[in-house]
Amino acid sequence: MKVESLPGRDGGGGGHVEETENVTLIEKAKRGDEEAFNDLFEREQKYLFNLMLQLSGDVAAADDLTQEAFVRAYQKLASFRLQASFRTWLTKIAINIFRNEHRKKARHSTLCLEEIPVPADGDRPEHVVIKSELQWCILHNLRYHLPKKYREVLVLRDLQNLSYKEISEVLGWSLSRTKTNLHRARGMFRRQFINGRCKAFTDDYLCICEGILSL
Amino acid sequence: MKCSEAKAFFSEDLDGSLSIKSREAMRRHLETCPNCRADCESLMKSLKILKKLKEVDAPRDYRTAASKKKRGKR
Repeated sequence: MKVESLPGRDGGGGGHVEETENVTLIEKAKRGDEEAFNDLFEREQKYLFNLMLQLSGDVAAADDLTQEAFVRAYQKLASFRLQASFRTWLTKIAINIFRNEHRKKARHSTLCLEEIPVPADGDRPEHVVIKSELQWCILHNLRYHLPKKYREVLVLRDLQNLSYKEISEVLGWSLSRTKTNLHRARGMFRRQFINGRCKAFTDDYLCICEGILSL
Repeated sequence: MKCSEAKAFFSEDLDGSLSIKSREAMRRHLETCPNCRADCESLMKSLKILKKLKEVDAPRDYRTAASKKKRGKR
């Protein structure tokens, strides 16, 4: 069997290639340069909001979590010693907020299809609906069918493309624990899609989500 | 090689971090084990679906809110 590599995705607004430039901006921002702060944070807004949405599965919660993470990062920037990349440092702050402030167990009935943002890409209306359902279905599975630690590692690796090393830093795990938990998380996600309620899982990625939509 | 080991190696190989030796051992196992092969194929398929989750634009500008809140606390 041929093992394909998985398709990558755009890491969001900025990232690793800009790290050198980030260091200059961080130094400036630490000295109180508001413009440098704005530039630095602007690059991470889209990334951080998407990360919080993928972890919380809830647009309003993602909005609150993103804002809180930026406030916290602003307050802590002076103590950032460049021991990790800026994104890794920011992600660690955001994940801690997510863990502490998003403890309430999510109830099954609160995720609404209409709330899930789907980027417009000029498709026919019926395709937009199918894509919207698929987005909903993925977020639903992450939110309700994966324990938090597995959701975190799966999202960081497979949706945000962080390396094992970066994930280890963010989650405070050893490299081997990161690999093991990632493997388990992928297995859980797979079982949910194949054996769970998302039964109509087809080659062209249409996901009918039998049962789930009527919850 | 045990089935559980082959599946763990498969997951690692998706990230490109498996050694050549381990990959060869995994491939040999998958060639002779239809159950593992089916599991790995469905794993790959479900991860491709996961990656269909699209990124969306941030609904607002968080920079102003963060700096305002900080200034307010001074």
